Amino acid sequence: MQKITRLVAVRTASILALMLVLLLVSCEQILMDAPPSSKDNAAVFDSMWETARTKYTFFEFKRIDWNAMREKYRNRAIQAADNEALFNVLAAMLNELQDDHTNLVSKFNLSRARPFFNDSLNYDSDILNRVYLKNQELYTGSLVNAIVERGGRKFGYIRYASFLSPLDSASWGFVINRFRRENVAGMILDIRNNGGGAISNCNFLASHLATERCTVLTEMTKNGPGAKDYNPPQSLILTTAQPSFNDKRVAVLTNRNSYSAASFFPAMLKAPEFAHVRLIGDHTGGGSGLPIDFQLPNGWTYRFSGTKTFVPAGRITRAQALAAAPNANHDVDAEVGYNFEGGVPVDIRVTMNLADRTRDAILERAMDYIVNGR
Amino acid sequence: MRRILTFCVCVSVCCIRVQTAQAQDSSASASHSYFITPPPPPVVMPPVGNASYLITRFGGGSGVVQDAALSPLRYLGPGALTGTEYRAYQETTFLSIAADIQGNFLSPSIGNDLSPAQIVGVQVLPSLTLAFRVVNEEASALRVYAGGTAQGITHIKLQTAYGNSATASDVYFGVGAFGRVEKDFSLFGQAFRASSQLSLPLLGAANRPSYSTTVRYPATAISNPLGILSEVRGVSIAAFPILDFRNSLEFMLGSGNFLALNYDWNFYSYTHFNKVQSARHAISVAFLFKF
Repeated sequence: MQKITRLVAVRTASILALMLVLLLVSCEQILMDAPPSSKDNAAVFDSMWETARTKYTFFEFKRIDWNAMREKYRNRAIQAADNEALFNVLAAMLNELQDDHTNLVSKFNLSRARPFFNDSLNYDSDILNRVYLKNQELYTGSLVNAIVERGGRKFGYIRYASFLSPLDSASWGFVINRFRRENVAGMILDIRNNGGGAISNCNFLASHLATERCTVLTEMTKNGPGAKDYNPPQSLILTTAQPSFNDKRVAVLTNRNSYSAASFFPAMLKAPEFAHVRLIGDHTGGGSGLPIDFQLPNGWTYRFSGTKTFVPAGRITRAQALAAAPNANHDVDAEVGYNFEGGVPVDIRVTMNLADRTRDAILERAMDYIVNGR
Repeated sequence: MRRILTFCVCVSVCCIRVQTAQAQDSSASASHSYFITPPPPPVVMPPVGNASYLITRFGGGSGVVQDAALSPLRYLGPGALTGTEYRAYQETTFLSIAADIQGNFLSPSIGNDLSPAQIVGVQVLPSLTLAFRVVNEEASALRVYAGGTAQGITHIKLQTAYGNSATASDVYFGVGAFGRVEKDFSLFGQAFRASSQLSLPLLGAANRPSYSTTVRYPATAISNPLGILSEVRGVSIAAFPILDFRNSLEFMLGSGNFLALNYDWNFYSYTHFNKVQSARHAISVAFLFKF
């Protein structure tokens, strides 16, 4: 009896174990689609091209014929002899988007577009430090701050080098109290060469400069593969915060390397509730689309813009738009507002002469504005 | 669709065959008199009628995700789960209210040396099931229940990569058919109960909240505070096939309580711009407290 019972037990257990193993390893193999081959250059290329075709947001604005890019690059990708060659082809196609939110990332390289690589820098930290800050600046959290004096007047200077650096109320409060104590004529907020970061830091700064609650930006997000598939525009509303600095003039210094969040923040300042603020320097670098990340069948990752953001209609003139982005199609979404992907136009444009090591023309012009209001 | 139905039928037939074989083996061994010593007293399985259980379970498993919104690659890896269930047997009915949560840590099938990305996925599966006993073979202690189920799936996936991380989530709620087979048997002088059940939602609503995987703009306030980018769609099994297959081997402890070893598998597939396919395996140990 024991033998038979054992046999029954063994047989039952074997059947159950077999079923379990089969289920564990193969159920979804029957039902799931096979992923594209990681070693097939055509599959890798097609994955990137098709994803961008359905999800990138600025083809029309930048007058880019994406189908033509497929014609131009697909055969080159297929013929790429090794990973480095394939990377270079894919990066070249992505760079056709002229979008600094676009990168291809592999273990051996990171591609970047740098659309304003050849533009004037309009910033020199050496001039700034030697002529104006003189090693007297304070490092208060992420805010490098100093009192700059000219003609018997004091100006509160803040350098915020990256929107990735966190901002906090204690640091901001310390700096503002210091400026109040020193009775500065106004504030200069320098975000030149600021490559962007967290949009929440834009909110932080703007909410401490705004005179009232206001609509600052309008955003549209892709909600389908068609060229016109977007959610209705959503207004982004800002509330004020304390301690504020909205009773004296504020100059925000920008250049073409003020990108992404460092363009979102100046774009916010175009609202009427920032009448005391002027953008001075060069137009910003743009970057109005929040980047989204994807992956290729061979494991490389890449990203590009997946939204578009606007300065609400009526705040930027056509002449200003063309000055900042002369090649863009500004008729696209014109009723929504100004798409600042090509840059936020400055109120007062100044070009630095980097050969002159004795002055920062943009900073000097900012002090003029604070004194004269022009 | 045909593949899925064929699969379901095969799995169900397999389960019933195994259980029938066990029944035949038991009766065969009982009909022959090889005993030298008297057989041990039979173990008495408590009647299933009018019993309620509170079930808690813990275990581990694995997950497979192929979500084109995040990556064309297939991701797979281990996971852990916990779950709770209220189960009530009446004379001819079976009621279950359950919720499972399983977290998986998934790596791409091509290997981490080629891809730096991983996916952390959390799947929550609530269900409400009411079924009626349609077969009750007292001689072989075999019972079959058929009825309906209301099921939900919430699956949130976070893909870590260079730069920004991407998230995608699926939300599904559906109603459909439910079948369960139970059999009592004894082994090594102990009382066991084996069960298999299959849920097959037929109609429901699915929501993939975001077409893109962009992190929403964190404005102080926006005109549409919930950032509704979602779209709820009515779906049928043809558009959103879900299979939920659960097996349990319960060992009777004293006082009508049970200790169970479970194996669960579920699968869903959904195409809304991007094709999303996901499967989950789980092995768990459960305690069934009778009350």
